[in-house]
Amino acid sequence: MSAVAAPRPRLGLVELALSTDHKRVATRLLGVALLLFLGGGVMALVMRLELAQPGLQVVSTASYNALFTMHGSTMIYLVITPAALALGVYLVPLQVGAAEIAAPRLALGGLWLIVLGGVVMESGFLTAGGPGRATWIGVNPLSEMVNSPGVGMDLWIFGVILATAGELALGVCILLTALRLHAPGMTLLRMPVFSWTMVATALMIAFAFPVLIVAMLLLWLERQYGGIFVGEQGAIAYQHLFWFYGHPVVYVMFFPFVGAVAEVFATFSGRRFFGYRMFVGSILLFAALSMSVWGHHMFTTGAVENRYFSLTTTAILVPAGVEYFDLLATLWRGRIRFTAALLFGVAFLLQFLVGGLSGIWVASPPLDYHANNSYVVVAHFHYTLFAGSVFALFAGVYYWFPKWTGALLREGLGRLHLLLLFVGTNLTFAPQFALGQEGMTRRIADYPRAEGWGTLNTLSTVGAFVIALGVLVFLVNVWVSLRAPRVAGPDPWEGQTLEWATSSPPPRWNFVEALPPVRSYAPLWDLRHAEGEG
Amino acid sequence: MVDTKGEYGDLAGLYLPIAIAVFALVALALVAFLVLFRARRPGPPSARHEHNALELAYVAVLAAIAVVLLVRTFGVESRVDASAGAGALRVAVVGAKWDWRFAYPGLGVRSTRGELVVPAGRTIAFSGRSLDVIHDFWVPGVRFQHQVFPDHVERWKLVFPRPGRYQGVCAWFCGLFHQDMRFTVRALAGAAFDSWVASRR
Repeated sequence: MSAVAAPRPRLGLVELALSTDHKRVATRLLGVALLLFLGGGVMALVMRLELAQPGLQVVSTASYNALFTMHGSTMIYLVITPAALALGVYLVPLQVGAAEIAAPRLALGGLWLIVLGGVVMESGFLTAGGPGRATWIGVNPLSEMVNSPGVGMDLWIFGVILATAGELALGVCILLTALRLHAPGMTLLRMPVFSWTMVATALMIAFAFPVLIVAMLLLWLERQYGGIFVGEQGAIAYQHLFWFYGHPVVYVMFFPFVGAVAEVFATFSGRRFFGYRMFVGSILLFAALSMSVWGHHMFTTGAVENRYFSLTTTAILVPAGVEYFDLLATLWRGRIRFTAALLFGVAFLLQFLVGGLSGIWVASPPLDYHANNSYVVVAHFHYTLFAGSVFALFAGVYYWFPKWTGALLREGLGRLHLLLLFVGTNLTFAPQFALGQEGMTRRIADYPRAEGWGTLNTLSTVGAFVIALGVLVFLVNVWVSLRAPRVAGPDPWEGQTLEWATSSPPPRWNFVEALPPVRSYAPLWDLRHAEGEG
Repeated sequence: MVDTKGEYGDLAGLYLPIAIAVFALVALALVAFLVLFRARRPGPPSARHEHNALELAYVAVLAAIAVVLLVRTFGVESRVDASAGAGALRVAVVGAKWDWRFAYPGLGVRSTRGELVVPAGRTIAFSGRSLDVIHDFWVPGVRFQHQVFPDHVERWKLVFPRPGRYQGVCAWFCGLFHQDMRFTVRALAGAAFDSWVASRR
């Protein structure tokens, strides 16, 4: 017990690149995602500058088209999905009491495939014709050679394939870890909530991501040789394939984060997570439903059975409502500690609700006939992905950073970070609901002065820069907290799950001492409250 | 004859209050819990960790809300999507990078470009296609859009209830000058439309 951890040796280049320790793989992946998040964020700032007033002031239309394509593609394929998986790669082995991740070399391969995919996709910026410009959907026939010439579009397709293959590999590793490597006593219904959300995520990945890889290969063949998406419903066929991936991925970018907030709420209200079994059932139902909703992206094509997809999509409000109930009920009669992590979770809960409720709105075809492709949709999915997922990611970061690094993040800077991000986010995205309702379409660099959309767009642009300021505060927080570390110890928060039963950061094989007995999904909570029970 | 803007307004009048009420309820509960159950409060936190009967009752409420929303949605949709009757005026829409052309088969008039001229209050049966990529015929003023494709013809119908001008726009991203692919709709009263037709023969 008296042994002091030896100073960690500097990593060699080989170890930096080739370590199969799941914790290092996850750290690298999260680092790459953060870097690309900053890149995608800068793209957004340039776009918001252009949109602040009518007229073309900052970039050309062609550059704007490249920017929104690459902003969306970067954030979805290379930032939020990888960040969700990074949390899973780091935490699932720890939470289920495993010494390492299943198939560690596959996990390492997954990391490098994602990195390679990012390099390939972003290298389009270096080509003469610029990067992909056919939206994050790569929609056919816009992505055909005749409509989108230049190697940047091909690089985009292969970037997506590589990154998606990497994400598939990581999903498989996480699923196998949860199912095959769990500690004695850790039955399926004792697996922590976050790990369950990762299992549901990995299941969706396993079903949906291979379809995207195939769709992208077909898209490339179509682009180069033709003959794939032809005939009466050729363009529609591509959309079916794409959205079969494109909607489950939305929940891939949601579940892990709602799982993170669930752990944060349980820990900081000092209660076991409320409604565990209902919650687990609801996310599995949610995941199953997610495979049947893709056609709601095609309500205005006239090519799908709108009622079916409206039914399945609206039905999602049931499992989503259960999750909200359980999150709120976990706070009920708790003893709530207002840490930065908890506050980020609270902001997530409120803001994601705006995204979710507007999602039910656009799930109604007659309402979508107006909202589709307008700024209403832009506002809707940014409320889910940014105001929702990214806020929840930050909740997770503030919560697990001490486990990850051994040092606590500064709470004061954390609150400032949250305040700026909260103000900026709502200033950016709330006006976009009004703009879309008034008829502003998405994916435009300019709009007619006569429409009078300048004021709302200026507000939105100001908001985007407040967000940037918030992100800057976060970076400062990380820097300061690592330079002058406040030592966290193994369990700074009175955590409930097994990752808090080992040192921070955990040793190479995760656990040195014997694991505490696992009798529920909150083994450390059980341990703490054991003496009180009869 | 279906007033798409009116139908949209009715449906929105159901969805919006429910959404606002749900948001208010959750926000209120959240704030109340945060205030009531601060850590300063004495006593240990509750050890209760599930209440499945309560939660199942709540699930039933959620399902009931979903059913109400869907029933209304389906009702509106069947009216908006019903095919046009016999008396409808036929208009053929062609979207091409980056403008809109409108032909009026049966009227014997020259086609128009960038401007759609229709009689107000009469059902218009559209057939639409594209010459290149996907475009999307959206008239925000009547709360309706429909996509057109290069490989097949799409059909929809619309009514412009009152005489006046409506802005139209391509809603689906279609390349370099997507943002400029706009059109106007000029809805004319019956007599004015007849004289427009006569002048255009």
